[in-house]
Amino acid sequence: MALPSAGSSSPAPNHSHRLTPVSIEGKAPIVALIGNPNSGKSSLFNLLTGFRRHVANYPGVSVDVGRAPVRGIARRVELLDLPGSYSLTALSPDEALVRDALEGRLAHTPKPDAIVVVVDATNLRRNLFLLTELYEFHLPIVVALNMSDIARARGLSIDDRLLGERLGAAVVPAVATRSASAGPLRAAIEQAIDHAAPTEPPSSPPARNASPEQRYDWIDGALDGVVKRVGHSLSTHSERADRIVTHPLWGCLILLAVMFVIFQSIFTWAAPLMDFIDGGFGWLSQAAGGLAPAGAWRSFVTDGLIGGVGGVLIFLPQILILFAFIALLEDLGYMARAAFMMDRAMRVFGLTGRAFIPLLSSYACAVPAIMGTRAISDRRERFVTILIAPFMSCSARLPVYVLITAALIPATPFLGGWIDLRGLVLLAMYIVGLVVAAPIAWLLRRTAFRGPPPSFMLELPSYKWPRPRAIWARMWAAGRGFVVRAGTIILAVNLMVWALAYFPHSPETRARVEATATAESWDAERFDHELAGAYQRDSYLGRMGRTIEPLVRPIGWDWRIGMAVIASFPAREVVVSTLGTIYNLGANENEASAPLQQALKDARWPGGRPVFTIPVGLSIMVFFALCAQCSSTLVVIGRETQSWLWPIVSFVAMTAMAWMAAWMTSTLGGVVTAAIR
Amino acid sequence: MRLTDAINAITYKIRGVTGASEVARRLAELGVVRGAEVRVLGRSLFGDPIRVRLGESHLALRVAEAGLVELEPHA
Repeated sequence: MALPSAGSSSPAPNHSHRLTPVSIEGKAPIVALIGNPNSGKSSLFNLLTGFRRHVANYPGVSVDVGRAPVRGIARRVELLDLPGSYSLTALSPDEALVRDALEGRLAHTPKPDAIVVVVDATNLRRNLFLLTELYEFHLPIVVALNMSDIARARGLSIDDRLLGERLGAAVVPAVATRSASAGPLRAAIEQAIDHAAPTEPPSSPPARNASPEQRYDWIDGALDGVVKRVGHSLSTHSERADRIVTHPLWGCLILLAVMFVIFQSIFTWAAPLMDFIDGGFGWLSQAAGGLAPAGAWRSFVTDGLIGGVGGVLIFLPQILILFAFIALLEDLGYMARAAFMMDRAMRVFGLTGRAFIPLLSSYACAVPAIMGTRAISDRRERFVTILIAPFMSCSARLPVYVLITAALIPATPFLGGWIDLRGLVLLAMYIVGLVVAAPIAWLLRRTAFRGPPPSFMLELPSYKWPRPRAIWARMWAAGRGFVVRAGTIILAVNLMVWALAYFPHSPETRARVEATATAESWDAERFDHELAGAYQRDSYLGRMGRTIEPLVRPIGWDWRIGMAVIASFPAREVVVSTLGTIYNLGANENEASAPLQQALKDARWPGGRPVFTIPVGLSIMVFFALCAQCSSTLVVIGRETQSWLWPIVSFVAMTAMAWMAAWMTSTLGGVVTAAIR
Repeated sequence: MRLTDAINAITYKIRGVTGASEVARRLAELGVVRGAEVRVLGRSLFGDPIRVRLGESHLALRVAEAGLVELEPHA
C-alpha cells in the first residue's frame, strides 16, 4: 500500500519508490486536464496556459483536444484540454476520446504523464465519481477544487487537507476566474511530474469493474467529515430563476422573446455599422480606381477586390452580434434550459432537447455545432442532428439574404412599423430551413437511423454572470475567422472568377461590337454597355456559364447567377462577392464599381427584361437556405461521421432539395406576380 | 414508489434504479444511487421532461427515465 503522495499543504514526502522523472530529454511532459461538464475545466485551462479557448456553460463545449504549454513554469509542460465527461464508460464520443487520450491511443498525442482532474466544489460527491475511475491509469493525479468561492458562499466548508489525504492526491482549492489560483496549481503540477508516483488512495480504490453504487460508497467514505454545511441548505438563485425561466408558459415566452431580440438586433443594430463599412469601401473603390491605370488592373482592384471581397466584409457586424448572443446564452447557462423546454417538441422528430443545443448554435455556424454533437451519447440521435444542422440558417447565409432583400424587396411597414416586409422575408428564410429539417429528421429516425427513443438526462448548470472576456473571445474568434476567410478563400475564388470573367478580353470582340455599332448607329453609352456585355459573354466564364445555363434556366436564373452559385461552393457568402464581380464587370467598364444592389437591379436579359425580379430573388434566397454550399461543413460532417458517405449524401440531397425549392418559389412567384398584375 | 409519483418540492431518498440498462447505469453515474436525496422542482409543458434537484445538482429527465428511479416512501 502506498503512502498518500501529497496533501495540499504538505510538500511531497520522500517516496522510497520514487521514480525517475518521466520526461525524456526533448519531450515535454504532458498533463491531461479532465473534469465533469460545467466544472470550469476550460476556464482553468485558459488560466494556466493563457490560451483563449472558447468556454461555455453547457456540455460538449471543448470538443477538440486543445493543447498548450503551461505558463509561468520554468520548464515546458504541455496541458491537454479534454472534453468534459461524467465518467469514462465511453457512451458518448466525448468520453471515448478522454479514455483514449489517457491510454495514449490518440494520434499525435502521447500518453499523459499526469492528470489534473477539475472538480466542482459545490457538488463534490458527483464530481469525484470521475476521479474513482482515474486511479486505474496509475498516473500522478492533482485535484483542482474549483469554484471553492461559490461553495463557501453556499455555506459549504471543505477540509481540503483531509480530502487530500483520503484521495491520496494533492487537492488544490481554486477559483478558475481568479489569476491568483494559478500559482498553487502550477506548483502542484510540477510536483506531480517531478515525483511521478502514481496516485493511490490509502483505502484501496474501487475495482475496475465496480458498479456506480460501489463507487459512490467509496466516495461517501472518502468524504466523511470532509464537507460541513455551515450555512443554510441551498435554495439557490438558479432554482428561483428556473421557476420562471423554465415555466411551461413564461419559459416559452422568454425563449420566444430571446429569439426575437437576437433576430431584431442583427437587422437593426448592425445597420449603421454596415453603412459605415459600405461607405468606406465605396470611397476606397473610387480612390483606388483613380490610382490604378485603366484596363485589367483597375478592373481587378475595383470590381474584383473591393467590389467582391469588400461586399462580403460588410457583414462583419452582423456576424459579431450573432456570435455575441450565442456566447452570452451559453455563458449564462441558458442553453441547457432551452434544451429542457424544447425536449417535448424535439421528441416528435425522434430527437431530444439535447440536440437542440447544437441546432441553436448552428444558427451562428454549423461547423462548431456539428463538433458539439459529440456530447450526444446516442449514436443515431447524434447522426441525425449532424445531418440536419446545416439546414439551420447560419451566419454565412445572412449576406445573401440581406443583399437580395435590400435590392429587391420594398420596405413596406407591417404591424404598425414593428417589422417591415424585408424583415418578414428574412424571418421566412430562417423558418424555411426549420420547416425542411423537421420532416427530414423524422424520416431519418424512421429509416436509416431507426431505433428506440434516446434517453434525455441533462444537467442544468447554475446560472453564471456572463464574463465579458469570454464573450469577447468568441466574437474575436468568429470575426477573425470571417475576415481571414474573406482574405483567403473568398479572395482566391473571387480572383479566379474575376480572371475567368475578364479574359480573354480579345480585340475581336471589340471589333465585332464596333461593326454592329456603326451599322446600327449606337450612341456612346449604348456602345459601352454592349461592349461590356459582349466581353463577358465571350469570356471563359461566359462560355462555361452558357454550358450550365440549362441547369438553372428553369428557375429563371441567367448563367451569371448560375456561375456565381457554383463558385460559392467553398462558402455561401462567396456568392455575394462573385455576384459583385460578375455584375460589375458586365456593367459599363468606364464607371466606378456601382453598389452591388444597384448592379443587380440594372441587370437585364438580352430582351431588356430585368433579371432580378422578386420571384428570382426569393428563389436565390431559398436556394441558399437549403443548399450545402459550404466545404467546411461537408468536411466536418465527414470527420464526425467517420465516413465519406454522409457528406456526399448531404451535398447531393441538399442541393437537390435547394434546386426543387428554388424552382417552386420562382414558378409560384411568377404565377402570383402575374395574378397581381 | 417511483420518482414519477413524487410530489413536487418534497425531498425523497432514492432506493435504487431499476434494471441494468445503459440508461440505468448513466443515471447511477450522475448520482442517482441508493441514499441520494432527490426532489422534483418542476415540469415542462405537457408534464415531460421534469426538473429535479439531485444532491447539489439540477437535472432534467424524461418521465421514461424518472420511472426507473425507485424512492423510499416519504416518511
